[in-house]
Amino acid sequence: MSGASADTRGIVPVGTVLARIGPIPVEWGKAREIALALFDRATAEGFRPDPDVPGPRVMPIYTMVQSLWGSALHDYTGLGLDPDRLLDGEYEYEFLADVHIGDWLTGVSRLESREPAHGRRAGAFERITIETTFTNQNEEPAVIMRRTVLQLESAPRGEAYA
Amino acid sequence: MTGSLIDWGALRAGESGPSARFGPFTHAALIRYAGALGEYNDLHQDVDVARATGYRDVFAQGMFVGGIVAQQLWLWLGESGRLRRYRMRIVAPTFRGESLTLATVVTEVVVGPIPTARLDAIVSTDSGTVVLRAEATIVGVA
Repeated sequence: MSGASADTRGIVPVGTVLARIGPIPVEWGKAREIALALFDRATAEGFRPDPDVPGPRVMPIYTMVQSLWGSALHDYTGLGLDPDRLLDGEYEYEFLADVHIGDWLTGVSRLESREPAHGRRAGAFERITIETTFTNQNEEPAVIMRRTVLQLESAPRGEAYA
Repeated sequence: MTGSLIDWGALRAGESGPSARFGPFTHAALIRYAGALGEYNDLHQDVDVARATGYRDVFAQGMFVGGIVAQQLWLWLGESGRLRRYRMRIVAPTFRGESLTLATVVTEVVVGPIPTARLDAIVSTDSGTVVLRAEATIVGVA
């Protein structure tokens, strides 16, 4: 899905809620699958469901990957983000509370900032930061995620990474 | 989850934190990650799409590499601490077939009832290309 090409800066003010995510379950099977994907067989083996044992803590990536929660960045309508012109900038996470198997997480994403910038190789671009706060079933903040992407004026080529 | 216990009293700036070598990032590994984390961008799975976009091959999802670093920090901490803050930036793609080396260094230690420390992390390929830089803040468990 590609976003609108119209300049929408200023249409979505900073602080606007872009998406509400979840509630998402933190599950044994998914934790095991993720650990295996990260080459961590030992941790994966530790995620064995036991009805008599409280759910263990899960690793940070469980709450880091936005795609797990079904909210791709360019799905945020009104931002005018074009996935073909986006480059990853930076990711920042604050882990405020342990997340356990059995938890349910709910996220709220907001536009934190949107600023023009200029780079030697990229030329003119925009720096866009979206902040997502996940709370658990007890309404305690668990994770704050800030994702910064760069939207270029034209689609980047692979050579940009050479 | 078990892990080694960090001796917070002995932790010093300049010391190495966790290090690891992981990979290779085979095509199967990229697809397995995509399935596990829901990142289905064809750049990471379809060689023809990657090459048509200008990349020489499919490459790992940025969070694949970043997530491994966070995982290694989490394992290193075990029950002796928590990852409190993690900031990462992908600086180059990790192409199919490559293996990566993680190196970390403690940059600051603050002693107190609940000690904290900061680490810098660098992930690089066997040819020396840096693919990720990260900073982490860890805290001791009260």
